Amino acid sequence: MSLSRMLENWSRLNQKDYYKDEPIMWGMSIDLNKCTGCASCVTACNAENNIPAVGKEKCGSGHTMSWMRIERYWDSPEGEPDLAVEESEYPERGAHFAPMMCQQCNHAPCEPVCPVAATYHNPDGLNAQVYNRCIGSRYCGTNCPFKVRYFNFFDYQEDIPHPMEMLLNPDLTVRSKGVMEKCTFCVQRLRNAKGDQADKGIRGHVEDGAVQTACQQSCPTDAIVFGNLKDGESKVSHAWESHGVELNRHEQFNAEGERGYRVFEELNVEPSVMYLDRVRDTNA
Amino acid sequence: MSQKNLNDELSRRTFLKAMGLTSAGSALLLTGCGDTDIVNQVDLEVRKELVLPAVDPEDFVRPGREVHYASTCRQCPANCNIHAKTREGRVIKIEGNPASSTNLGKLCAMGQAGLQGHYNPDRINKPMIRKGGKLVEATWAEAETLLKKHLGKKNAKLAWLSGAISGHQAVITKAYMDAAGSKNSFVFDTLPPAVGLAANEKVLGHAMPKYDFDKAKLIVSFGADFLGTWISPVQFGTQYGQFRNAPRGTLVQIESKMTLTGSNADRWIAIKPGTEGHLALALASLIAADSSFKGKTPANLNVDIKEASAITGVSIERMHKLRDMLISQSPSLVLSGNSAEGFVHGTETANAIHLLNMMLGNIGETILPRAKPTFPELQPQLGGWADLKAFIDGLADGSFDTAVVYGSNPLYQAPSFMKAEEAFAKAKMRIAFSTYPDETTMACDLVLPVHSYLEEWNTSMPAYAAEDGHLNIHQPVMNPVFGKGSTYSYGDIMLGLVSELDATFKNWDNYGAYIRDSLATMKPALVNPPKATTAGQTDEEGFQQGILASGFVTIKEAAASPIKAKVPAVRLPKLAEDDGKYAYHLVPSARMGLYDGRHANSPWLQELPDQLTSVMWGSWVEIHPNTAKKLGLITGDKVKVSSAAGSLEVDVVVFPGIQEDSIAIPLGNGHTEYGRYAKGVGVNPFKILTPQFDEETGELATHATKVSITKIANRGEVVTRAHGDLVLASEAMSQKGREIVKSVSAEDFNHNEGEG
Repeated sequence: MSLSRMLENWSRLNQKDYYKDEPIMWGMSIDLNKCTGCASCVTACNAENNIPAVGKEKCGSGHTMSWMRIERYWDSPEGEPDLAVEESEYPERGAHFAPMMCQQCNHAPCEPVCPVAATYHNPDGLNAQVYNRCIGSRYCGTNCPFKVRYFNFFDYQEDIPHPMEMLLNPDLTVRSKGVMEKCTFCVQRLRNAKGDQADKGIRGHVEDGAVQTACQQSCPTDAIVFGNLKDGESKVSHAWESHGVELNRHEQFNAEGERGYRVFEELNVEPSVMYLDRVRDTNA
Repeated sequence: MSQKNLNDELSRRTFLKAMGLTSAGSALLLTGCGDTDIVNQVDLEVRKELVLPAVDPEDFVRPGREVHYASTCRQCPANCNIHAKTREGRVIKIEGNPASSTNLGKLCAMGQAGLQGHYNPDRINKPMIRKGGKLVEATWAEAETLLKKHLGKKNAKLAWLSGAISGHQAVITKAYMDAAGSKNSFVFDTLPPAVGLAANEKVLGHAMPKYDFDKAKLIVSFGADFLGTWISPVQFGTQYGQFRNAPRGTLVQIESKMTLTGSNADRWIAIKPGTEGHLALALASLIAADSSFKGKTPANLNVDIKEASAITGVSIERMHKLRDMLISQSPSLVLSGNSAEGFVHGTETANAIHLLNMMLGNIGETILPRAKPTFPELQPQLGGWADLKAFIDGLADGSFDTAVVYGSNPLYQAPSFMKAEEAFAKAKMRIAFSTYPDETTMACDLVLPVHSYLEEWNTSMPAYAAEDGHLNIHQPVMNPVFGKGSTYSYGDIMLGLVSELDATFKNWDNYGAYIRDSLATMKPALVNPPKATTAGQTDEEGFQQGILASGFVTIKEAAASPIKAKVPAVRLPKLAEDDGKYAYHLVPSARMGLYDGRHANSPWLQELPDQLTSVMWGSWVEIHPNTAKKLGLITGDKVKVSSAAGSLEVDVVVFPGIQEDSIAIPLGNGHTEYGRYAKGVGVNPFKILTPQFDEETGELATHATKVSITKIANRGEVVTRAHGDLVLASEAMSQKGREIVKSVSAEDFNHNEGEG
């Protein structure tokens, strides 16, 4: 991919109506009012996506592979003093949890830096990773503002002791040493759903709810909503609309009461994941 | 199929071919049958995929297509209903069953990691017999001879210890114990709140009432970690999701170590350990003083608030605030959990909390009655520490000569003071029905490898039934991982044993047939039993297929009669003065993940960062920043934590969510056996608990141990999620003003998202 072609794509992406002609753009909404930080999603993702456990030593070197993590903070961001606690020794308003995985940015900073175009944007709005093209330069990981790309420093799958290899999901590959990987929005499920629709002769439309990501399916409190943002009837587009988040903006103008935001919106990376404000009863 | 060999009665199986219906969504095949003639396309011996032509696939195998089987999770006593996704004859993913009232299609981290238990490389796949002091592998024929020699006879000195048990497993175990003439059946599980359940039974007449979280406008939880480990976390998690919808309920959590539930509270209140009852009584007294509660409160409720504040460490202002909330936000729900009940006066604390619910009129509103069970023998027995103590005491004094353990690991969980190893060693014969080489199994004389929960027929009842009479069906979702004849189901072995002593059980040649017959007999007692759905199918076939496809049945129950609560007078003790030597309270904290240690052999769960400290693998001790400063400790230091009963060496994590006088060591690690992922990892806080028991129930006072802390080294081995990543590590505690998690007030939320 030549530089000129990349730049051409980049400017095309920044056009306001770029998304107009594609029938599907997968998007997500995560309600931090409901997320309890229980990490059911993390384990569900591990099971669905053939993610290995790497052991204590490698975790200590920062080689953890889980595509999803629960970020946990003990303080409020600036500008919310009334939601922090009056002077106290303890975090009396509890923790702040944010499930964090690839935000499937539409202006993804990881994409233009890949020297071999192993990471690219697919027509469904996914930031896709082509494993057999990846040469492991790790530029993409460096450039990711969310730190959600994970590099295979070893051939973890080779070491799975028998019979544990039997739990591997045959719908997606196991990754080998030297390859970068990350959340795919469970692309194997999306492809199956599209395939099923195609069998029925329907193209470019997947019924809302016909496909769930593994994290969404497992979430006990239904904090995660996933679907097609281009489908005006889908739950996720309702959520985006009613919480005042629009694509193609680097600053959202939430009307009063709209809780939606995207993490690091100011970077203008156009994430496909919207978060909804955490809620605390300040009278308690 | 049937091999006429020595294990005939164990291995003979008849197969019920009951193909299920294709449900909504073409990819989802929900099939009714999961018996063991599903073909494995993977050759287990040589670990190679066999290249089989797909032109004539076996029943229930659709090459390239997933097939779902409805069954039941057994990773904790909550027993959620699941759909197991299989491909080419092996299970590759577990999801919740959306039709289930227990978990509504959802699952927790432990349920998701069930695959790693099922395919665990350390699973026992051959019987073992102790010869010359060592456990050696044996054939099933040898094992069976030995088993029959010891258990195929009447023996009043036989003692049986199970983990939480219900359904037909409980029935067949009881049938065997009756036939063997033994009254020594014990049930031991560490986390179900035995003290609280006993108090419920006394006060409400129901050990496990129904809770309506959604109806409550305010939940005040005294240490009940209902989102993490308390009774049925997925069920309560789904209810919590509703509770947080507008109009949003308020959650106040009162405990000494912040649990997952505490971290989601609108107000988390740190309380001195063991004083939860004092606070509840003080609140009751404050409420009683309110004019609107005249005549509704018991007499002599007169607590010195100032004194109560000093005892509990909760400010008077905060108590008044709580009183106001409890009065204005009605109905509310006040819960007591393990950390409030784990003291010598645990029952009194639970009673004080019942008193609050009674005064506030929550009983009948958010705490609801249950029907009297139609089949009490199927009801869950959750067990407790009193049973474990009786089991160990009986072994120690020679009242029992044969010990059998199933689904429980007492040698890991029993504190050192109980001297469980010594007592266990005294038995003449020790038998384990076990899946993994855990501490107890490896101390036995005969080890019978049993199926995982994904390989066997069974029924069970959830610890907390959202709907009365909910009976789970378990079916094998694939062939046994280690092939036919390697492992057997507990039920099959038990059926073989009981039919030696009781001829009525000879009617069934395998446990699956026994289950099916039992369910067929129960058919008139079921709500809407499935009928024939396709032409040519008999009603009986339709029924069997229907119940397997749904994964559970509902037993008709009489209407529940209203609760008549009677709260006895609460007597709280004066708390012992600090003796100076052991200055800190030890909280042996349970978390969603390793639970009570049973999931330490799952690498996913070992590597799942602790939800609050984000530590992975290993053990740590949580210390409040002020206490750490006083002791000169920082995260990563190694300390010795000593109680009167023993000591542990463990790494420090400075953690804000813990009361200053307390320290917490998470449960789950410190295994001396249990396979490659668990053995030798971390420490086991159960071991240093001191001998204190709840006065009413005799349950172990798990949270009453006091400890001292001494620093022994500067460098530990704590690994957290942020490790090695400078960006994450530097931000691990603070958002540094960045808007990663933003918050709004509930007032605004209700205003904008409330109905209308």
